[in-house]
Amino acid sequence: MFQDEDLIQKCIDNDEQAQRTLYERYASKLMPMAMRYARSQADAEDILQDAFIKIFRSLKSFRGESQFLTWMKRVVINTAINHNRKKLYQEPMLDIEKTPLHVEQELIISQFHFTELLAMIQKLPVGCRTVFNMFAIEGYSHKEIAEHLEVSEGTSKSQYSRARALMKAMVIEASKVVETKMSM
Amino acid sequence: MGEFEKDLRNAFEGADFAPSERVWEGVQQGLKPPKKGVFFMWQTYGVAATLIFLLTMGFLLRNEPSTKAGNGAEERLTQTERPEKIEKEATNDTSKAPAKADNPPSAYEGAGAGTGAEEAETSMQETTVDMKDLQAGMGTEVSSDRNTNAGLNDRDLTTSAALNDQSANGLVPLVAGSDSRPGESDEDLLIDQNSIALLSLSELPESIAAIQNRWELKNMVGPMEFEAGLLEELPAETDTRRASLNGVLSGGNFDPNGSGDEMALSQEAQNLSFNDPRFDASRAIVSTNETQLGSVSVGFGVGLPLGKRWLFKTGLRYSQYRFASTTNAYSVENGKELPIYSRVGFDTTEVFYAGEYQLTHTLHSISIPAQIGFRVLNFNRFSTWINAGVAADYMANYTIKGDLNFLDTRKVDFGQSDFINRFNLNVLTGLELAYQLNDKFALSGEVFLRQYVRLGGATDGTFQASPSFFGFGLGVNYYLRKKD
Repeated sequence: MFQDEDLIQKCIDNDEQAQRTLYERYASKLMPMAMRYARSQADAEDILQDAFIKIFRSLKSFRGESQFLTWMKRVVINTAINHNRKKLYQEPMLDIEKTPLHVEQELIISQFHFTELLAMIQKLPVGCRTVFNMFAIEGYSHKEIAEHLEVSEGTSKSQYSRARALMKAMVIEASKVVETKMSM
Repeated sequence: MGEFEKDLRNAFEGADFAPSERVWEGVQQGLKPPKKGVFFMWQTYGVAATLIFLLTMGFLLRNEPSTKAGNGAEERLTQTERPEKIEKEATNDTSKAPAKADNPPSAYEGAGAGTGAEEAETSMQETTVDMKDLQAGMGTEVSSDRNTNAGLNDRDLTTSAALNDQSANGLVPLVAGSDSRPGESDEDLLIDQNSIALLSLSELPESIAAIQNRWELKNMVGPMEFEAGLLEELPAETDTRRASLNGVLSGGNFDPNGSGDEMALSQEAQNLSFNDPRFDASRAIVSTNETQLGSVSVGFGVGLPLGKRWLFKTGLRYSQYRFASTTNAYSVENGKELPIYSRVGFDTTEVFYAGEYQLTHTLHSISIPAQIGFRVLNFNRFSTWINAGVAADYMANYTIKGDLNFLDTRKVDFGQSDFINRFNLNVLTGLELAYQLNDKFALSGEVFLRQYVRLGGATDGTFQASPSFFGFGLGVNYYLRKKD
């Protein structure tokens, strides 16, 4: 079993077998991330494919300052944002002053499999989905999100607020379905 | 960060989802280097280098001398000048010493004033130069009449070697004959080195120009003396004029130096001597240097792909080519005042002289090119091509316009040039920018260099000029599809 460092070096030397090994080691870990930013699995695979091409081509620039997986995740996020950029232009993110949905009910996220949560996230509008992923799951600040997406910080916040409300609504709705099934 | 976000993050922690196999295939495809092997690179650069070489040679060979003509003329000089010099030196006429090659004269030493106007006048009047000889040997041969005239000294213009030596001083004096033009002083007769250089044997590529200069000098030094009765013997109107206008198209070769190729105009003209009254425009100073005004063309092209970057191109183009020269004479023909571009073929009574004015020559032709195009660059709908090949030009029309207000435009009569002779072959190279309208049609603009080819050359080996010029063309291209 090769360590990441060895694999990376072999990949830099254009060792196809090493590239395949590296891909198999990380593709399934990065795929859920790509899926969160995409509207469908096909879109997610396109994102992942482009991300891996970038990863292999820029392996030389990986200095080992961060974990290899973290570095790869950053590449996937950037690739996903670029993929969504056209859609973001078509559906520009606007400041939403009032969030129409106020959910006070306690939510139990753990009762859902991540694929169910993925399905909910994929239903979000592209702007909301991107901001929600970056803030809630990747842990970016609104300032960083604003810089990445070239929007104002306020827009990022309002988009996230909207996304959060929509997500909660979908979780509540899904919880009701689960409860109904359980009671039956 | 609330509980909601933490729970979500936990839900995705360690999530694993295998993508389909097509992702890896796509990655592999994306990582493959572009197929540009060593062979391909050599091919590309080799072709580019070849085309650049052809373009460069086109530039360099525009006025390349004819080796054959040069050698021939030089040989003739050796044969005709040496005995003459030996003979003259034997006469011990020391007054002619400055003209010897080893002892070039100063600017005024050789002037008529310094040697005796009477002697010079006698010499010039007795001098006759056979025109055929002029053509054949760049005027280096002297007619038998001249050879027998002991009065003709070494400064005579027929001695090219002496002229070369004299021209080394920059300005060369000419003997002022009795027929000097009114108002002309001796200084007017000084001709700069450039003009004299045209007479030197080393300037054979400028043979046409040399002959004209020589002719001019001859005229200034010794006027033509028409023999009594010659005018009556020769028909007042001959075919010479018409021939002169067609001669430039003879033999399947086209020389746009309309004024320069006058000596090759027709057999009749070639057989004339200076004493022939049909040289009635011989005092006209027709410039030997044409200024290229460029060429424009429009046309329709058809392209057949030969490879990824290669294209065979043909089509039909209309071209207009213009150049300028100067003259100082015009003729009146059928009540019309028309510019004279040649000193051959005009009736004495029709020729008039004016101040120097410009002639604009305009040629119209229809051409069929056959070129190979190589695509150098491709960006969006634009592509740049280097084209090289040949084209057959059919001369449709030739007009000469003088810039004097009262002159009409002369339209050259192609009556004596048959269909084949009006075709002229040229090498055509160019840089093209094409804008693709769709997969079949494109608009194109091209900067080209056209070099006319002398197929047979003149039989006497003297006229070998192959004119070339730059031009700009516009066209619509239609691309055929190569069947797989």
